[in-house]
Amino acid sequence: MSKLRLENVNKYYQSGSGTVHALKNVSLEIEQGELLAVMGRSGSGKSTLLKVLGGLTGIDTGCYYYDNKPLTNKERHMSKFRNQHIGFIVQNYALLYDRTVFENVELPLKYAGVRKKLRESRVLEILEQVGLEDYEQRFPHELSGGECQRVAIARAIINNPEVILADEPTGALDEDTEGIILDIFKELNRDGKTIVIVTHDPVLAKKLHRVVYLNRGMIHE
Amino acid sequence: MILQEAIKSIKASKILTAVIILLLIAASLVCNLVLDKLSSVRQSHNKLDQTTQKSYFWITEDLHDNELEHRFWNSENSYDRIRGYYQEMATSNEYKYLEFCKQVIWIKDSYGKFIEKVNRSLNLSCLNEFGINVIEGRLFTEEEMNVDFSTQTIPIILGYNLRNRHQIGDTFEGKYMLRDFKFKVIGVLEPNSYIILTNIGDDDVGDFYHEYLDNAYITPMVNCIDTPKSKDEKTFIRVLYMFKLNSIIAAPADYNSGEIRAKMDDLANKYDMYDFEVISISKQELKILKLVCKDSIDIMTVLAAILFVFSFICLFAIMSVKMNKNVEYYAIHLMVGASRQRIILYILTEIILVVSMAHSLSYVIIRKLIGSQIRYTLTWLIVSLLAFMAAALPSIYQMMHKELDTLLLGDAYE
Ligand SMILES: Nc1ncnc2c1ncn2[C@@H]1O[C@H](COP(=O)(O)OP(=O)(O)OP(=O)(O)O)[C@@H](O)[C@H]1O
Ligand SMILES: [Mg+2]
Repeated sequence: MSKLRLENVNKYYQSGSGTVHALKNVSLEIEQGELLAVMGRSGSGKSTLLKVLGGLTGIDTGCYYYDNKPLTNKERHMSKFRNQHIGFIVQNYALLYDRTVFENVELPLKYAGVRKKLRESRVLEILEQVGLEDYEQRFPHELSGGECQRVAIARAIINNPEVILADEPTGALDEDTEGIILDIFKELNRDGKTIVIVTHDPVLAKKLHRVVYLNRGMIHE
Repeated sequence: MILQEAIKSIKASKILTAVIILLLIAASLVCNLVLDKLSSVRQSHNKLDQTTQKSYFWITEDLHDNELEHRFWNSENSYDRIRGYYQEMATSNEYKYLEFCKQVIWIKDSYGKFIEKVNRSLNLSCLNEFGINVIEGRLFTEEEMNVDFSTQTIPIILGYNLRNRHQIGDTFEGKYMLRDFKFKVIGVLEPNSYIILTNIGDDDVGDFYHEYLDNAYITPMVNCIDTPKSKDEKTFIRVLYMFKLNSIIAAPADYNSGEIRAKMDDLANKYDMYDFEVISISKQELKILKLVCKDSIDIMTVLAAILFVFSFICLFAIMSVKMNKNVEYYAIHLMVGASRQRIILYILTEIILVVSMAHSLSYVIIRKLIGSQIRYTLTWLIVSLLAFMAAALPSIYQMMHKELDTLLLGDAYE
């Protein structure tokens, strides 16, 4: 049974220079527990695809099914969907730079209404899982790129989502750090998470279950 | 949590917030100054307006004939007669009888030496006619206008510039109309309080001038009903009534000097008084003053409007920058699970915090810098709040309607 399914999805952006057709008739099925790589040239629509899957943006035509239930474009529907099912890691980490690692990772739990005691133990547990124990009182600007990336991952998985979507999580990292990050994803995948990773790196892509390619908004397996 | 988050957002852009607050303080200072000046010029204008709609007459004793006066005081019952004459002159349904006296009082300093101070004595009609009011304490009461020879204490009101010399409730010794009294401070006048007095002009026509009270000790122009016995008491009554009979009469515009002359002649016969003159006061100068006032009001209104618009734009612009920064910041909150309504609450709380912080600060600073003379105006409060709200509207709109991925980009695609 497919976890995520796109059918003939089209996505347009209005920009100053006209309309951009970012996704063209995209159909894609992702199975429960799959570890998928999305590759393609810059501007081919990888981030757009991931945002559609994560409910960060709506689609213009076509259908999106999650657990075989259609997801509408209504913001209220999408935000509920995001908060319940998705852990999203954006291209630039999107951390709050005025807060400590601990506070950054804790924030989703606050909004989910988890009590303080529980929050604390959960954050420490997750930080350990991504190898950032003892970093909780540091600020993002005191961290390396790889460490920031791990904070973003920790924040994405803290609410225990079923699906994790990561936009170039290793883009700016050296091989060793890339290895560490990949290991984290693999472990999460072993725990049963469905994971989609956007990447430019064919070596990394090969280590995952399946690779799909995007070319000017169109998909090739 | 809402308050906490709002404070964090303020902290996240400390410098920007500091600039906003400084700007608001500076703008508050300037706008308040202009508004305050405007309102005081307006007040002057209203006062002049009222004054020009009346007829004023100056009653003054005939300086050419001292002999008559001398004879009067030596005649029988002169003290009762002069009081009777005064009583009837001062009571009228048709005009107001304005008593004032420009003199000095002597106040005993801490070494027991008498020091000369500027004193203006006024009766209640005079206070009322020129709209004199206190900013602290109170004005004189009806009872305080009457003294007898057992009275020891006279109330005193401080001109605005003397407000720091004494406290309300203080008493000190001194001399009033050459007689020893204790003075008790009961109030402080509003800044720029003035009465309009007359000078005799070249052609025996009186002219107006402004007599400011800021540097004066104000005492009541009292009545004394006791019959004097000692020489001291007699002198007191003489001095007092000499001043009380040299007065200004404020009457409706159609009142003429003939009517007053007739009344005075009647009373002079009745009480066998010495002579007084009635001098009509020309309103020409007042009318010119009024025109000048009107001009300044127009200019200052335009100035105030420009200032307000300018401040509005400045506040709007800088607050917009802050709000724009907020969009990205709060988009992250949205991404990790905050509801949009919650974010809007953050934004509103943040604005209210910044506004109240800036305003309380500028209130304190303005008070410290300029004293209570500046009124912190409601208009300005509303204008600044509107500027902030207007600046916040676009971000609130975005927060409500834009998709999360666009918000995460900040305003890069705007
Ligand atoms: N918010 C937006 N408004 C307008 N156009 C957009 C927007 N986001 C993306 N695009 C355009 O849509 C196309 C796909 O963009 P997308 O970000 O999905 O590319 P990408 O494959 O992730 O590229 P990269 O590898 O550089 O991250 C591009 O042409 C881009 O310019
Ligand atoms: Mg991208």
